[in-house]
Amino acid sequence: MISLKGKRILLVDDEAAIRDMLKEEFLLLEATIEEADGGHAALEMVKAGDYDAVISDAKMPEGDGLELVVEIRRLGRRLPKIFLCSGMSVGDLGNAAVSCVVAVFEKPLDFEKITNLVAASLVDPTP
Amino acid sequence: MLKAPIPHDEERRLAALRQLEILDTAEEAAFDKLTKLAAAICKVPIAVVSLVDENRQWFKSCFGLEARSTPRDVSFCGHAIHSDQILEIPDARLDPRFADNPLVTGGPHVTFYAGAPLIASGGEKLGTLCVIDYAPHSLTGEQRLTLETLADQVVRLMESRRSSLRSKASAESSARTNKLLDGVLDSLPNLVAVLDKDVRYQYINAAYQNWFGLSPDTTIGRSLVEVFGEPVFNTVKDHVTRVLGGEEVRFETEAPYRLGGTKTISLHYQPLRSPAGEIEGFLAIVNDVTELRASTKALKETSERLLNTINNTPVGLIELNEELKITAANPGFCQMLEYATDELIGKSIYDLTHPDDKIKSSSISTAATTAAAAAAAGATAAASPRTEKRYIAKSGRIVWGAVSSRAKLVKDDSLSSGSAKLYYSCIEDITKTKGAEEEKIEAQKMLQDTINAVPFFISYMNKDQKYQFTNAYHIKFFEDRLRLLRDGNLAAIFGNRDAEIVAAARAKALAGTESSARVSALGYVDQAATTLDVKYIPHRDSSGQVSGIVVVAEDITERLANQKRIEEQNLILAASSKMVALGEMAAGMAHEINNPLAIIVGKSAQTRRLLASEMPPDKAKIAANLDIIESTGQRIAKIIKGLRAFSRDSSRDDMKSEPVEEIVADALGLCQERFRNHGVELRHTIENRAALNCRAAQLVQVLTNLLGNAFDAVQGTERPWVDISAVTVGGKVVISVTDSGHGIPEAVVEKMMQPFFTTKPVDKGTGLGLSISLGIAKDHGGDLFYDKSAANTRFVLRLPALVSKEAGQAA
Repeated sequence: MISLKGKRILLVDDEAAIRDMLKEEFLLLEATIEEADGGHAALEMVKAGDYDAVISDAKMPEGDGLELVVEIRRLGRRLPKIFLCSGMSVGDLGNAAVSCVVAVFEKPLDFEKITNLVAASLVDPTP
Repeated sequence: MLKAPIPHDEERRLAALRQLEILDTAEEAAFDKLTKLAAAICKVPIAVVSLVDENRQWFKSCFGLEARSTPRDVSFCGHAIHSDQILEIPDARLDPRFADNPLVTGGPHVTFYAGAPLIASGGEKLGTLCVIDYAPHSLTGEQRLTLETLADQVVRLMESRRSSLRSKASAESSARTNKLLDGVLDSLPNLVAVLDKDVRYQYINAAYQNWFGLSPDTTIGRSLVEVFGEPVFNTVKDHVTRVLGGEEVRFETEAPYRLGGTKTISLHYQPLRSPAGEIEGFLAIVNDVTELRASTKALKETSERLLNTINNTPVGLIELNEELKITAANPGFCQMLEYATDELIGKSIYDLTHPDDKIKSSSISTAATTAAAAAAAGATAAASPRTEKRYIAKSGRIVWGAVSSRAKLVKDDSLSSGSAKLYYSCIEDITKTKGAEEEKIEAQKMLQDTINAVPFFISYMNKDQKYQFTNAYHIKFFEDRLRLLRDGNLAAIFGNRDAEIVAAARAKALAGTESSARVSALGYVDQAATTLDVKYIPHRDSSGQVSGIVVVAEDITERLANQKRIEEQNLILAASSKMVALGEMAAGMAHEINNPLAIIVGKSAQTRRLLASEMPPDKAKIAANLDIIESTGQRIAKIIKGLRAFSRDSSRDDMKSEPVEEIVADALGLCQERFRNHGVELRHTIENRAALNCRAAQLVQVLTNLLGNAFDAVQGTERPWVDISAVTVGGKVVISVTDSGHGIPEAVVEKMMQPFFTTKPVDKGTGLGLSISLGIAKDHGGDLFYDKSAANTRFVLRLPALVSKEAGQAA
């Protein structure tokens, strides 16, 4: 089993139940998990501290996920790897945002797939 | 007895006798003296002056005899006049010529007779102076001479008598004549006087006396100077001198009037001459001309005024001769046509007339002539009717004139007919009004062109529903059927039912109220049945009475067909708009359903892991997970129920009793996720126990639409919220959807219920939501409206409530 010990992951979703489940999956991989319920809060947290990855829902009342992606990119520092969860397909999302995320997970979410892909990208970073 | 024979000069003798005018005259002393003298000289009892008339002897004078006449037959004198000598018969009884004479045999028993003939100065023997005795007698020589002398005296007496008689008669006749003359002269209105050469009055007639206040007693024999005084005499003195010089004189002067003041008199002095030619005096004939003079003066003033008027009036006045050439023109006419007077004289009226109106000029003169002929009885000829015609001014400008003309026959001895015909025309310049009129006509023409160009039926009919005007469109449409329409055969055009509608609408308009009707003209030849929207507008005359109807109709056949097509399309659109709304919702909902699904899936996996771990399973944790899975599943069920209610085509469903609460819950189920995801607070106060007779799905659609609009309106605003509530008020269920916005702009309110109206971006919303919702509300006997009075943006769906058992009992 891959260990994500020492990796900091920010989970962003307005629905607490979703965050709970993702948090549980990544805790099993010994990652450090922080949470935000919307894009606005998440952006502040990204500005304040280094995250290895941000996993965000696309549609949220308190700060849109797609906007969050664009804002993080504008920070211009070492970027966390960003993953999007969306009810819509990749093609339906705006290009600007999609071009700077690692992957878009379509709903309904496959948690095993998410953990595998996030873990793989963090442990064995591609050059 | 021997009858006295008729002398040979009997005719002359009788004429001489009658000339003496003595027969049958009265006794005269002069004759009687002579017979008395004769009797006395001849010493006889009887002496007679006997005049032998045609059939009798008449006695001018008888001495000693009663009789005045005897028949000539038996007379002694008839014999005596045959000789110039005395006829003496000493004893008649013994003379065969007289023995049986009744005058001898009977009374006066003449026995002795001696008669001396009365011989006139012309030799005619008129009768005798005879002496008679009852006894035989004889005359002495001296007696005979005396008798002859006396007879001669008788003749002289007779002749002088006649001449004196003559002069007397002539004096009487002259008196009569003078009297007659006086009467005549007195009856004359003229003042007549005769003055002698010393200017003394010899005669004045009644008029003269009256006028000057003179009487003949104080005037005749007195001189003019004495009668009137020096100053008056001086005014006529020269004229008197002239008339006495043999000249006839006429003059006027002022004379003192009887009643005071002076008057103008005209005098005519005529010399009077004796038979020898010497001037004896003069005749003065006087006329009072004051009044004549005054009326002449007035006439002069009147004509001056008239002339002034003629010269200053802006109306043109001309005189034309029979050839219609101008013989006189006033300044008004000259100015009107810009000519000088000299230029106009002799010009033909035709040369001044617009070519197109020349016929009018001749009509005018004809009319005037006809009128003049009609007024032959000396009455004033009527003027020709006022005619409007065009003149050409010198500059070529057209001048409109209103002309009336009068023809007059004027005496002219130089012409063979003895009279000339003249026309007097009066011309008023009406160019200005005519110009305005032409503009008006032009405007009317434009209006008419417009009326004929529009694709509407426009007509005007009078009170009797007879067409007075129909425009081109009307004519083109009805063509062959115009006659039917004009005859009022409405049934043939519209069919019985619509014909009645047309008739009623016309009657209503004629009664003064605008009316309209939608009627169908029956198909005709290759023309399909046509639907017409007709408007009947009462037309009132200046007094306000309805004088006819203006009929305006529109062929709406095509529009109706289009409308039907649009309605059909709208139905399709409505359906598709629902699909659009559904699509929008589905897109949003995928996310909403995905989340609960993710939760269920995630919790299921977690639970499985918990069961698979070697450690004793955490039962509490597993139970919690299952609770989450269940409630999340219910969330999904709600969404799906709402979706199903929304999506199915319910337009043909029967109306069913549905609880209000359930309808609102279904609508909320569809929206809740979306509102929650976008941070829009959704409040709901549904405690309504009422039910609605409805197609629930349609009402869910309406509420979803209202909630969706509210969501769109407040999204992205500060602390957005949407509230839905349902209450029952007065038998109505009132469902309100209020959002945190602050109302809708007025301009939008007006249009928002119309189909396809939207304020949303092109790719969002169809603009059909509210219009379809309104339609649904109306189908349910209810209403959907925007509540302007609310502080926030509030829409209200109001529907009739089904009376529930509890409500019924409560009531």
